[in-house]
Amino acid sequence: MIEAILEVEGLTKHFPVKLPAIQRILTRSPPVVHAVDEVTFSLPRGEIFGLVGESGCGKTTVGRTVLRLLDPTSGTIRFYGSDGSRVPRKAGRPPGESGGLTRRSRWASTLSVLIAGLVYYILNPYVGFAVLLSGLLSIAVIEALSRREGRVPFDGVDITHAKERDLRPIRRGMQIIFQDPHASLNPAMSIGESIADPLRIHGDVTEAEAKDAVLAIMKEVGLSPPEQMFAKYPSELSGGQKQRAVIARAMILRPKLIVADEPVAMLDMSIRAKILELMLELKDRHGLTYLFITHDLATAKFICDRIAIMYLGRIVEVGDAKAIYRDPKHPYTRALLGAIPIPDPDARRFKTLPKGEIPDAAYPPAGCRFHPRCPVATPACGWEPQDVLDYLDQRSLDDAARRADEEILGPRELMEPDGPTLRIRVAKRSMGLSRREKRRSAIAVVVAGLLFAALSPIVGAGLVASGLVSVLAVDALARREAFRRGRRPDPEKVRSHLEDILGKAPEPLRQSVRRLATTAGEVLVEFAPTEDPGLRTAEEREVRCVLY
Amino acid sequence: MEPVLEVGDLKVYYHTKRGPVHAVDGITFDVALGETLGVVGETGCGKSTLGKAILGILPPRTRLEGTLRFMGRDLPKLPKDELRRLRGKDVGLIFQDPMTRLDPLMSVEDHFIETIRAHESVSKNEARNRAHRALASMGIPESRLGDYPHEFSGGMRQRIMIAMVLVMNPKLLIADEPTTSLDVIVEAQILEILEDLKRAYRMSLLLITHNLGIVAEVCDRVAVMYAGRIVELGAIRDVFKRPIHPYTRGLLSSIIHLESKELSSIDGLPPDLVDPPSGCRFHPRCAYAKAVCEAEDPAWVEYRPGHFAACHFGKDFL
Repeated sequence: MIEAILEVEGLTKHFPVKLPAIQRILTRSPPVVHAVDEVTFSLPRGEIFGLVGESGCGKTTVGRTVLRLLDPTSGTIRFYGSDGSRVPRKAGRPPGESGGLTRRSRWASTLSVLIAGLVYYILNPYVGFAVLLSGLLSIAVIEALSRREGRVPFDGVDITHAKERDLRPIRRGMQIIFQDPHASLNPAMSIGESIADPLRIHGDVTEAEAKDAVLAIMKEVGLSPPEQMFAKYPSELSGGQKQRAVIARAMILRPKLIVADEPVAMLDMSIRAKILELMLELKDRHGLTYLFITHDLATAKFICDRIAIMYLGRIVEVGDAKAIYRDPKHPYTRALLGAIPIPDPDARRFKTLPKGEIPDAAYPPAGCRFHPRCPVATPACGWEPQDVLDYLDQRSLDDAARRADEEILGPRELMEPDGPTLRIRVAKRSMGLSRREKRRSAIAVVVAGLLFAALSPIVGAGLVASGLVSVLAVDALARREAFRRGRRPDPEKVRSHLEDILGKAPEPLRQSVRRLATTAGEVLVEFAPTEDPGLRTAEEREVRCVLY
Repeated sequence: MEPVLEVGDLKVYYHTKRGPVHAVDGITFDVALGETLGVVGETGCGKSTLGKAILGILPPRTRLEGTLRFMGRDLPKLPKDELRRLRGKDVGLIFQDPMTRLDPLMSVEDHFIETIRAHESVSKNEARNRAHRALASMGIPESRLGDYPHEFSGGMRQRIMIAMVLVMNPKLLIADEPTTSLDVIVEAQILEILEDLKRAYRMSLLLITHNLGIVAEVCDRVAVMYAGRIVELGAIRDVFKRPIHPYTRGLLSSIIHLESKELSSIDGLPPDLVDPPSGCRFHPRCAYAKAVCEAEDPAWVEYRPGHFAACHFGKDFL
């Protein structure tokens, strides 16, 4: 087994959804965006591991969380530092090294403070006390400070919750290449300064040493002639050259792990190959390990040893790159591979594209997250109330169906998913105001009338009269509207209409409805509770799909 | 039959402090009725400028020479208000970035009503009904008509843009990188929609893109642009299977696709268009360049029926 440089276990990152202040107070559990959910992988030294997926699948979030540019919600990240030691040590002070003052110096200083205090006490008791106190206090402060200084930064292992100051030295070993070379270089810094910046932050090097190192690395990444390029500004460089500069900046600290986040996506076709070749060259020469993040399966095929396909925050298929390209297992992987345009006019082919678009990551689908779009879905894939609502949306594209649905089922507000059950409220009475509503509004009107009556009895009386009339008017109008729409409470009718609709729904959705039930005032569509299928082993890889 | 669009020796020079930028420098082609012509090239080759020139939306102080005829009408000579009536109605445009091309303060419905009523005097209700139908054909339900652009995903926004162009039933659709900011699956969905529309409406399509894979999938003919000029033009199969110009060959072999066996790229950098290279503009990067390439402009030669290229040694590459 090759030694791992990075191990990620159950990595989860949820982002809070911003809500208006009042809603935030009223919502019991505010929604979160499930950017990354339970992602586990291990990265052996010298490997190129690809994280592939569409935008919003969480691949970039994984990359950034691994570097602790983002703090994970849960899970662990273990990074086996520069020398490859795997001694499991907790972040922070290593055991047995307390730092701080030695015992002797502590004794000596305490003694001298006591003596000084005593001497001053003889002259003036107050001054004596003050000297004693301030002396002891400063010893304690010095002690504390030097203890902190003495914390030896650890070299490796669990960085999930490491503090920023402890992370600093580790960051030397892990660097990132961002997607957009035009945005990741400071336009006010010359190329040379930009590349030297990490050296200034991390090492104590002289200007001359820094410049030599920068020139050497510039030559290595093909920014030549380095002496001339050193003083140029990003605006004077082409996209490819800028990306070379970004790579040089990542390389200057001689890292072991590089997270490359879409390093060629913004570049023209004709120079992509050059940058990829450069990355492969650097890897061989310096024994690098890459976490290669991309949406482009074709690029990943070229460069990656292993790949993980991500969908809505989860890895759906992971394994040897060759095996996955030869025979993709997960329906999503197949869809992704099938959608890539091939630059050959004879290869135009009929594609089976997944339906619709990626769902909202704040409310990911139950079961397999791909099931609503999957062309080969089965009833066991995690169908749930939301799928019925989506199907109603799809039906509404047809005018006749939309009108029928609206008339019988009522507005969407009456339908509410509740776990594995869809509750459709059937209004009990005509749609006028309820007795309670009428009584409450009448009371409010009378109270307001009384208040104003204290000022002027006529105004008060007028207010009460007009108020009562408008309550009655609202009630009458609402009744009339309900009558006009012809909506009468009939749960049976709602039920049979739903049965009709489900009869036309796609096979797996129809089959997964366990029961249609009517209760007083509600029609229930019940599904079996489902779980995520989990990663299953199938032919040299792991797939998250019930088919395997 | 008369072509929908005729472009003759078109030149567009942008005004800058450093002097004129030869963004488009003498290009000639036409687009037939119901045809899809792809225009491919890399960043800065002038392909987007071409689209803007056709629509007459170039920045001020830009010099435009040559002919641009749409359905027999000379576009640069049309009065402003006539051009405005044409634009959006007979010539539709789909931009690269659907995120920024819809007004964030207007609901989708208002976008449609504004567009339709700018060109036709119809009632708001009529406009609304047409918007419903156009959006339903793109798979967007009526319930979302009142929503604002930020409530839609990228793919949906691009479908809204397409629906907005289609309500006017244009003769020519200019699509400038219509799928570049979209994911592959959504991209494939949009391309499928474009193909269906072409067939249903007999619309001509000018597809501007850097992605040769897309061109291969949807275009009938393709024009390859380099540094403001078309270097090769021909039927899709000719250009992809039997390319003539060394730049086309380089571009084709540098695509990284699922079947590619090795990485290759074109050496050098694209030229500065303020001071473009003499003769064949590709000569500084061309592996086959000889003295004549630097000295003389290559002639535009029809090497096969309908397959043109501008290369001094075109015959050798046949």
